[in-house]
Amino acid sequence: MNINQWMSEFVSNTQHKLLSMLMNMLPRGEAEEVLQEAYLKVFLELSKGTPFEPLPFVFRVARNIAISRLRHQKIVSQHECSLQQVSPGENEANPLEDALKVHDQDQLLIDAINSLPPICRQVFLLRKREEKSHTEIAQLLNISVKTVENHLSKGMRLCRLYITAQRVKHEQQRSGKTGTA
Amino acid sequence: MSIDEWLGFGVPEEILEQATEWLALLDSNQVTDKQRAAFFAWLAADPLHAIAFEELSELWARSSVIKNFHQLIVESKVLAFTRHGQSGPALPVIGLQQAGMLPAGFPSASVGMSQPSNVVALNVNPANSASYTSAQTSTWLPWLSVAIIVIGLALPFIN
Repeated sequence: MNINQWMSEFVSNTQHKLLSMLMNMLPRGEAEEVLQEAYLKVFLELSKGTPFEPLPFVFRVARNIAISRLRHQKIVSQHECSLQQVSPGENEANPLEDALKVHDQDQLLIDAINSLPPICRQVFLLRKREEKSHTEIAQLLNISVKTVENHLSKGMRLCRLYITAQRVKHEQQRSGKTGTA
Repeated sequence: MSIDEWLGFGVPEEILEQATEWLALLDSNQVTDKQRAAFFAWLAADPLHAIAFEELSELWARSSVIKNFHQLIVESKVLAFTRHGQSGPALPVIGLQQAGMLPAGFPSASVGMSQPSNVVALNVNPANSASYTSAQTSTWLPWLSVAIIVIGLALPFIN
């Protein structure tokens, strides 16, 4: 099998899944561009002849490209915002935006942990702050080790959803702002 | 590191959920060989599994940040009972004294038979307790019964 045949087979086996991941991150048009770019990288890597695993490789490459695009978009829109703020009468800063600038990702995580339901939060704190083992926590709270595990995974899930929601809110606020300006 | 790199952004929800469950299991330090093998099989089964696991490991590691910022964390413990006017042995009652879970007037009201001042602290961060008010009424009733049992157990020590 030559490299072109291999490549077209690889593309048809992976493109559906890759595209659906990328479309969760970017609009369709951009997702397709990223997809092409990622396959090109696989092709170049193949031509080098050094051994690599194409499947994990293409997912990582696609993801990295998508993330750097997102980051670029953020920088551009922040730049737009700062230009708007310089204009007279527009000195009022957006409080949420400032909050996100001043308080970094750590603050977001702390807020997320503070928003956990009480028992879940207590298990989380015992584990992450007091560094107690699952068994110790189970004994302290008189619950099973499996329940400790469940509280921890629930805590992680809720933290993730909290931060994701804040992020979406922030993006919407910003796009709303640039939209009206 | 951008926030998009540790939340599994774009990865389907059910895969993120599986990754979270594996993380919690592996964190227990009580993993059987069979579970470990199952984990590695899961990890290799799909590139998205590996991505989800890596990124959520980052979230898990980052959450240790609370060790450095404990003053910002809403406490969910410390409702110690001590003897009236003395510093008797404190009985920490863990699990019951969740911040914001019990109404403010709750402890002294329920401990009618002992001195209200037995109740030392219901350590609530006022800034954050507001977010629990909606859950409060539906959750404090079961705790009331737990509290009464705990107090019953504690009384022999107090006197």
